[in-house]
Amino acid sequence: MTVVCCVRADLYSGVLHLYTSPPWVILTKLVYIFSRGIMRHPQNIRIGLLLAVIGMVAIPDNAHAYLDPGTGSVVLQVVIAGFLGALFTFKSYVRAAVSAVSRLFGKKDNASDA
Amino acid sequence: MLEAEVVSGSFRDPSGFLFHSEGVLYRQVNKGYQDDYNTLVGSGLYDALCKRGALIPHEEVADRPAVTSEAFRILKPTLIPFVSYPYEWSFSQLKDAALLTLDVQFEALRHGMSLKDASAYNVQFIGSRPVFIDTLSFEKYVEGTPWVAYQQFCQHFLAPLALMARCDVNLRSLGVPFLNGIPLSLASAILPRRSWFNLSHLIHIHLHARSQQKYADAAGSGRSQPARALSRTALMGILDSLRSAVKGLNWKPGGTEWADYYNDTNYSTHALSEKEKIVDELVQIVKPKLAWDLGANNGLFSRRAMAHGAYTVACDVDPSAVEKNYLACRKEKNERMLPLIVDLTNPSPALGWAHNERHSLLGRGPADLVLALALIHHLAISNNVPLDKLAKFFAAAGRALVIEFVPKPDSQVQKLLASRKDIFPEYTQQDFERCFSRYFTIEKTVPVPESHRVIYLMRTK
Repeated sequence: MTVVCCVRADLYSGVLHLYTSPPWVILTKLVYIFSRGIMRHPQNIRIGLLLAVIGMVAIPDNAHAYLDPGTGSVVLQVVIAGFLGALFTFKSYVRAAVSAVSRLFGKKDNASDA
Repeated sequence: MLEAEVVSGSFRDPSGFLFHSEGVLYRQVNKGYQDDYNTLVGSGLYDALCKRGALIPHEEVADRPAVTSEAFRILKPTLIPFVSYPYEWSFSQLKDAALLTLDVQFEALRHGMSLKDASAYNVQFIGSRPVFIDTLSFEKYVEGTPWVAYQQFCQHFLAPLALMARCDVNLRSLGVPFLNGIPLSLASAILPRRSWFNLSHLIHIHLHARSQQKYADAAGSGRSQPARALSRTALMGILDSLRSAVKGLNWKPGGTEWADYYNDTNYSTHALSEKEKIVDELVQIVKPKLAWDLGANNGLFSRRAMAHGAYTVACDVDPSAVEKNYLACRKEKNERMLPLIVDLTNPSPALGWAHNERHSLLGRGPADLVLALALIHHLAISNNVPLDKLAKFFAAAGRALVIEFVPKPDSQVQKLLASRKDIFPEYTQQDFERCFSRYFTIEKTVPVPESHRVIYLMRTK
């Protein structure tokens, strides 16, 4: 019982208090971090995802939330993160380029008006 | 404990709750939310959102004692003139509420905060302007964490919008049985196969539903989140994708039974303008602050109540008519009229825990004035409601009533009777007056020129 309480207290305290965690909690966090490295290689993505899920299931971090975020929803966010993040960055560059070009033409128009 | 009444639907979030005291609405902020509240105000997020009209403003009150010892602050929020629910909104209302929620989340991230929930019930309308009403929905953003409200956003906004746009606009009413949002597995099952080829639908609905099913039992306690999983850019990417998904959903209101009603009635232009004058005159006598126009269609007569200073809720059963009215109100930045989809033969019920979280239509009344123009024949003849029951309903809905009696010789009533047996021997003007006199005092009786119709002004006894 004492061990359980100790673990729960740690689970609810978040990553900043990792040094107070029992060894197995640190281990699962490391497994999670390791899994992200593994997933960089496409051939390892299945095992990487499996490790990531084990890691995140074992490490509830934001325990203050009163809303259940849903494990499946969290997993999906992690899976789509890279793709949608890259897409967002790409779109931001395109938007910046378009606005730079339109500014350029805008100035030209103004200049010709003048 | 004070003489305070906690708002019945305000109990889920431990950060605080709403309560009434001496007829005024307050919000208690609990000590547990102190840090987040200070960040909301101190980071400039509160001011930024209020300046844009995106968040309901409040004032901190010092003279109002707390309801419980947990209190950190007591706030007095600006009142919403009439509370409405997502299952009463037209397509564009729900879409605008979704875009507002995402805008608020983007702004929150810019100020180092994030929305901890994305419920459609956190948005209300002031006329045609959506406004975020939950001041306690913000928490400090921790770099790397996923969006805790992602699932809720998809269930409350994306899934119903996709179903309305791609299947049938009447699927809006799934919000009634599914108060916590449409289950994504259900949305995924109903959506057409071609939606699998839409990237946003594929990710946020179909794969999301499968991911939920796959990990349904994985969490044990169900409170799992990865410690460091999502970069800020990735989170912005997800939000941007949701925004594109919502923006990409459209629904065009078609011509329906009601949408072209005023072009297809037996009213001449002269009679219609005379009717407007009559309504104008009767509304002016009542001087309502809150008016309900029941069977409002595109809001033609709601505008007469609005013109005399009433905040007017324009209810109609037809999603196309309400959509058109909302788009017109939005175009003119109208903050005095709220179009809503309400089926009077089956009005919004009381829902949620102990029937007390979301109120019924009548539970949100009575209005100062109810307009019921060109309506009664649809209820009495199409829906077989006896006149006495109609009178009782209207007496519960408003303190005053402007009602149009449409007698049997009227061509609209003849149309209703054309395909059915006339089983309404009591549908006469005399019986109408007799039944309504049980609940109302009839103050004015005005015949509409060039028609058989009569408009009454009544007040409840």
